[in-house]
Amino acid sequence: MTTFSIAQSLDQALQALADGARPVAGGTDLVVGSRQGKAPLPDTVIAIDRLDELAGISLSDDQLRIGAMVTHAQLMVDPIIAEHFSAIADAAALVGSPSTRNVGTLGGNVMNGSPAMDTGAPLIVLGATAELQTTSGNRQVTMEELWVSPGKTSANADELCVALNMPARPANSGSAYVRLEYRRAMEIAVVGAAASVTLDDGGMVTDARVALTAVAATILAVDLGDALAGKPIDEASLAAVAKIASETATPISDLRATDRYRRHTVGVMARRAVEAAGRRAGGETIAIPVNRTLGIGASQ
Amino acid sequence: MHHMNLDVNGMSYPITADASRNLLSVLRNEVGLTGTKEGCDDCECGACMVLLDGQPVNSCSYLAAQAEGRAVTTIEGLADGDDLHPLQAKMLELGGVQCGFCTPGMIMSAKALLDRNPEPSEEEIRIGLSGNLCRCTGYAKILAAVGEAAVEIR
Amino acid sequence: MSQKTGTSLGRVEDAAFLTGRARYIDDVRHPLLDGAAFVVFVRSTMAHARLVSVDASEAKNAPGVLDVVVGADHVVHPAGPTYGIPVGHVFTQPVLAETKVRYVGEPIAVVVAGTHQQAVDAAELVIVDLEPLVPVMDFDRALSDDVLLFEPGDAPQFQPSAGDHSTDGAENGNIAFETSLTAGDLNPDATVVVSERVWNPRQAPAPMEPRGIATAWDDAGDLHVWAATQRPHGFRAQLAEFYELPETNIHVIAPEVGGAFGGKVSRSVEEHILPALAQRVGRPIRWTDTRSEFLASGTQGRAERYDMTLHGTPDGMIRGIGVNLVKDLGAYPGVGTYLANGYTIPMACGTYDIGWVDFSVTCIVTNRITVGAFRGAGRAPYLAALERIIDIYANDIGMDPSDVRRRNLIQPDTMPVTTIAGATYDEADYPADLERVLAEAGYNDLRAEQVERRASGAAKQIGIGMASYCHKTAGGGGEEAHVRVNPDATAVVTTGTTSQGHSHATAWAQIASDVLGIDPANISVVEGNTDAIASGIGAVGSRSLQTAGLAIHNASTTIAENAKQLAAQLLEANASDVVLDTDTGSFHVVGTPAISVGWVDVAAEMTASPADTEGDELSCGEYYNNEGRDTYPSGAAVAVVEVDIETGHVRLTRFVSVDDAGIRVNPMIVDGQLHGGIANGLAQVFGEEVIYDDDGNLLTSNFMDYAIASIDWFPQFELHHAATASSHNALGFKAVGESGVMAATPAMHNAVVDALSHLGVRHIELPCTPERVWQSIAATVRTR
Repeated sequence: MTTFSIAQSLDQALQALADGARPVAGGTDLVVGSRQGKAPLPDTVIAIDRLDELAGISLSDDQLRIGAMVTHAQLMVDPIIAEHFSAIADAAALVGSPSTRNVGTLGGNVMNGSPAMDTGAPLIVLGATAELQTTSGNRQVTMEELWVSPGKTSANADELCVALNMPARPANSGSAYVRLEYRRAMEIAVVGAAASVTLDDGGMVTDARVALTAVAATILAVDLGDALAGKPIDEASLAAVAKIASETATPISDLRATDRYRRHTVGVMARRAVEAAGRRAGGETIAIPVNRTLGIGASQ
Repeated sequence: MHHMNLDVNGMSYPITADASRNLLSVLRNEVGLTGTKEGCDDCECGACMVLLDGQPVNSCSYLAAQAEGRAVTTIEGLADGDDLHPLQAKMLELGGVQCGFCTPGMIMSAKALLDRNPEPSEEEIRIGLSGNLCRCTGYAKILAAVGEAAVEIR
Repeated sequence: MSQKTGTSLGRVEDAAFLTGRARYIDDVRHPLLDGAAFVVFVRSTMAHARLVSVDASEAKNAPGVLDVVVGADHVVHPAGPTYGIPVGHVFTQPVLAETKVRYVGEPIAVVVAGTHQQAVDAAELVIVDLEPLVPVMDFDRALSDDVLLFEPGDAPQFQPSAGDHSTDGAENGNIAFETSLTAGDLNPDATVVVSERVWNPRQAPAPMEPRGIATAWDDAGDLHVWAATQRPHGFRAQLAEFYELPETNIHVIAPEVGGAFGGKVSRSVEEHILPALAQRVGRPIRWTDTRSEFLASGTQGRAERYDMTLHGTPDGMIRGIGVNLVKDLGAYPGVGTYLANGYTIPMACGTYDIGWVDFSVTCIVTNRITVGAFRGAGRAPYLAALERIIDIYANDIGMDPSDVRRRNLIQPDTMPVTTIAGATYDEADYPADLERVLAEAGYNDLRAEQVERRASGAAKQIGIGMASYCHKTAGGGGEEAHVRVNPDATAVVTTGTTSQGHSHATAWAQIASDVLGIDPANISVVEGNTDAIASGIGAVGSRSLQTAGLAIHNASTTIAENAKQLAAQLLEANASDVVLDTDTGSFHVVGTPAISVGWVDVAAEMTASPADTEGDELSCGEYYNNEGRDTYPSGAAVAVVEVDIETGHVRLTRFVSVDDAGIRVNPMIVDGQLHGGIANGLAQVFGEEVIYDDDGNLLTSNFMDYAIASIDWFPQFELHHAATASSHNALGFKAVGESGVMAATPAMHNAVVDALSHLGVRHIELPCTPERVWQSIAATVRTR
């Protein structure tokens, strides 16, 4: 028998967690899991979706803070995210369907730790950290430290993710997220890639990061070496990115794709993500989400 | 057992049910409104779509208790007496209904779309309805009906 | 009145659907169902195993449990294979597994409890001991008979009424049924021989509403059943056999049914056992399966492997077709067995004038769910294979696929025509339909664009595909209809057909309105109730319009003639001088419309003057039998795709069709049926496929993994119509329910291959998933 309450304050929620309660945001994964008999609902559940402390998107001089309860629907249309942290908006716009984007939160997804989550690769390339809080304090954890294995994080049961923080963007920066998909809605990435690119005034890359979706036990950050640094984004450097991404990936075969196909296509996705991020860094506006604008994903 | 007051289509319903119950099951069995349908068990089909404070939610995957304090709108709350909502009227006029099982959820998603975007493009209608599956229609007439209803409402 | 045949009248039944008032099986509330108990099935977790033991003792003592039944309890016996399926009795599925299990999901035990949750909890306490056998998943392994699913003596116990079941059929190994046809002569000028293996993968009907049933016994010992079924009368007949009851003591109601597509033809053991359980626990019982349970235990469709051989001349004349079809029936042969002779072999020639066919069919059992019907059953898979081999032939002889089709299509001046496969096609103009669809698509411009795109070496290449089709509908037999005009000038049409989205309430009213001149809004349609009418076959094989439609028309015509007699008395005229103005629903003497009487007057006259004939003049029942004069709706389609060479991703950019559904009662409804069928057909190319692993586990058990079409897959379909009246019935009707599927699959399939033909790709298996497309490109790169 499940006991349910709606948290009225962050302190109340943290205390409940300390007492063994399980937090729910939208609750989708929890309810679906229990209906399918995968995992029964926890004994004590506390809803945290109405806490003001976990809401809102704010940009200061040096940092962006996204409250853990910000929904995908909010992320995909927020002007700050769309302009400066485009990869997150690209990803949020692809998640689920209008209803799951409306209910699903960034914090909820991050703490689920799926290696196929769309917003994961963008968070890594944008240098995000998760802010974990308990009744006694709080700490910042990088995404690479947080995600341990499929569905498992390094957070303790009494720690609540209250926000995702990331540094403000340097000038001439752009980011993008693309995924290979078989259909456009209610879809999980077959593979995906996020890229962040910063250019100098001459169009040479000063900083570039790439992370990959659904090709390893966790979202995978790619070591680009000198593939892009100090170079223009052109056929040669993009080919190098694709090669490194394919070589870095350690995908599995499942119903949706073989490891061989994932390894190939994640290279294609990485190249397309870098290309789009580079164009954005150069000042071009590519509408959110890149998948639709550039015709990368499913039909129409 | 958990006590909750649910606001459904403007009426208040005091409900006592296990806290693990999903909103769909409580709407159908406790509130007694069976227009909202169950077509799958993992949030994939949209037949159970209702509005929560005007936003679309898969009621199969949402705890009923969590809906307390929010306005729930179901398909039964859309028509004004015998007067069909323009979405319903256009679905009828243009043949958007076949077996009818996806229809309530489809209309609720369309309602949420038009409420936030009164002039959707065809592409935006496709995105707005992308959480709703239909096996009968190939979606063609549903797309047309929502497009025309938007014009009618404006 | 502008609402008759040919008018796109809005559906009269829609208000209930649109406002949430429509009652489906799970919405049915009835005093007989008060206090209903719930059931949960314990299912096999192995594809093939010996059932060593089932221990239900702990489950029986669990909270709320009313009963637990296992196969050995024999609470009800099968009545033997139904539908006249020509297989040995050994292949019959026991109601609950007795000695072996043969697919993952096969029911082994069933728990009855006061609440659904109690049944779920108790089901987990049933201990099943299975001793694994080698699963037979591969077609060639099944054909080799190295592992047998059925051995002599495996047949379950039957009801005594099942008759002789001494020949159990186990001697044929894994082959449950074989048939063949060789006809005509092969012209020796057919020097080109083209062969290819073309698979048509398994699909699930997957209507949006899963299966469901509610059942209760009344105090008089009658059985009441509410079921989401396509065939209430057929279901009643099966229950009568299972329960050895007269049909008149069984009352089956199909409430609103949320789609079916062949998935609710009702031969599931789950549905057959529930009345026995209701009897045992003395309570009504309800069962609705979940989506994943439905996908893992409801019947599936297709599952056909075609080895196609086309014999033709070097200049594009098709002289003969050789077909070796192996069809997977799943573990327990069902309706799928019946399709080969009934629907597949008769379609051997497609729309073409072919002089020789050599067609053999081998139906095998494997450790998968039973194959039943699915929209287009028996025809769509063959036509897809035929249209594919024609494109391969065109490619091999270096001729445009449109020209090959032009040279071989059956010409309209020869129709009706009986092909060498024995099917008699009614009137249509296949060549005109092809020319029109090519023109509407702008075929020559598309080819020019393709040349340009190929020259540019772009990552996205376009492909153009086409297909021509006709298909057998009705499948013989007929339907009954009863029409009654009430004293208030409303009318009721009752039929044995059923609607699961087919819009009968509107179409049937329009047909009656044509004759009676009563507004369709004032004509109600009663269906899906075995108490309302004696017989009915139901909605299967695109058959309702050209059978029940005629019965409604004929019954209405009789009533109109009777009414003219009555009107003649009122108008003091000869009946032969009285006409019924079907625009106004009024009767007048020919030439003097100013003086008229209406249906209310006529009905009053009837009740005022006791009928001098037996019965009621304004009520009539008719049975219409088509006596084998089936109808063959037809058409042609063009699909255009864009393929991303780097990922193999396929985007459908256009779908253009010309369809000939015969005389259309309601063009809007016809378009809707075509749209749905086209979507089904296209989805099979995009990726809709039931997949099992090598151990026989179903991998596609939810809508994430079993991806039916979503709203973003298709562009707007471009539909055009021919409407050739069929001479096979008096109203020129053909059919439309399954037509959309027929050309959609091969047209898009041909388009995908066409997009890559310049790279040397000759064939890609269905579904053309991005990975499969990419692999076929990669394979040609390797061989270059």
